[in-house]
Amino acid sequence: MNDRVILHVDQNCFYASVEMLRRPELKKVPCAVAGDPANRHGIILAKNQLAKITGVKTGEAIWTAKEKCHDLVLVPPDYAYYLHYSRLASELYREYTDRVESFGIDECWLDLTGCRNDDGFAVAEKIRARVRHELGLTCSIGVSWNKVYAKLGSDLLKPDGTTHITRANAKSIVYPLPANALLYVGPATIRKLHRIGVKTIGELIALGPDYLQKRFGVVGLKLYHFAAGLDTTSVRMSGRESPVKSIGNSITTRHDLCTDEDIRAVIYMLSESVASRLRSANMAARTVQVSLRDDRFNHIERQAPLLHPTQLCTELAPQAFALIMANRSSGQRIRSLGVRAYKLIPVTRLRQQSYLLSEKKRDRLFDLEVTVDDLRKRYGGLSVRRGISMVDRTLTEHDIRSENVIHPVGMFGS
Amino acid sequence: MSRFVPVTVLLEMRASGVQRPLEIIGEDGTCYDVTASLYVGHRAARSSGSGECWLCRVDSRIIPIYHSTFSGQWWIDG
Repeated sequence: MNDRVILHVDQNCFYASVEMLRRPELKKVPCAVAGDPANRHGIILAKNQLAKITGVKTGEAIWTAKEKCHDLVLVPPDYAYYLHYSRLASELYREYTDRVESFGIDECWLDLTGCRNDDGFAVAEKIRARVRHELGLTCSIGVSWNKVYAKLGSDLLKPDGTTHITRANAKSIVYPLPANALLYVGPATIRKLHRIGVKTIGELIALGPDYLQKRFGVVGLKLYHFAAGLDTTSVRMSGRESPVKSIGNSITTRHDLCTDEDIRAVIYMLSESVASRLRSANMAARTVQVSLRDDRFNHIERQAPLLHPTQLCTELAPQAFALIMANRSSGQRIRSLGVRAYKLIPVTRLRQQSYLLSEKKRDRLFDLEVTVDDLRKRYGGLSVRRGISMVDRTLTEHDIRSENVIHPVGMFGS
Repeated sequence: MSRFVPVTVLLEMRASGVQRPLEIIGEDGTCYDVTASLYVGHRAARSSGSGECWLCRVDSRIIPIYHSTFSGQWWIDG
């Protein structure tokens, strides 16, 4: 059987490139797209080549980037504009195959297997030329027989290059690469691998599947499959998203949360968005999870079952608040909070249960929250607000629902 | 480097869905007749941005005009 033909397209310095396209004068100076320090999102989100040369790194704080590059020009992010270009790029990819799977706003996998034009390298070169000519952007493309190697390939020639990893050249290209070049191998895994003397992908493969499974469990086996090019995960058809497993929102607040009232206000703000999104998805949650990061960057996650499956903020929020209170040490200053609805079930089943319990009060609350959803849809997310949100407007002046960004689904979870 | 020049465009929109620029009105209000046009799809402009592009014949010169589907703005490279 023939190998699959998979491409991974990675737009180079996407946010920065789109900004330079809009404002060409930025091409001549080191520039970076950065979050708003006033909202404590003051990190570098993307930078151009000139900024990269000075050592500016994605994810670092603005002040350290400014220390490395004094004349760094900072641009605020415009996600709607980036999404526009992301969609234009996806439309272009779909001219070659209907199997286009997004991995974040600036990356996509394409499966050309069985397509009329399945010469992966030729199509990659054509896509690169078209992206440059039609969108004014550059991208790097990896071509291989599996998603992991294709992704690996797209990281090798930057900016604007194509890397073809075949069965014939995989050993010479992939094996000498550091293990952290592999998808999902982050700092924690690298520390564990270094402890057993593994530095490169070749050394990881040499350990064999049995040893890795014994040492790291299921993840170890998955790592071996990724490293050895044995991954068989398919590229999803365009428009077919993976089933929703959870719905959540989180926020880094403008200032640390010190009082119970501050925490309650933020929990209600997040829960309202989560509940509204549950209703839109026609799902109900059976479990609520909270996440908390304090001013020392200690992070905890806790979850608890709900009394009934619910789509109501008035049921999610008190449970989430109780979880935070139970797990917060006294005097702990909270930097960011998250609320997530888990163990989702379709709403049709919920309505049956609700009917049996004849919970008229819950039905009335449901109607009330749906009405508020409608009002917010028509007049804006901040048009109807809870009294509790007025305690400190700097904490709650966010339209969480419309600012919501869905991050890519991990391959481990699929 | 080319300059981004916003323009107003008089557009013929046919029932078939085809659109054809008829007139380009410059920043100073001067009108230029478009005697022929060819839609060439999405293109990166020399000045800035990218958009739907028509190659227009104006006074025997071929001028690309761009339309951003994001902002709705029309422009030419100056």
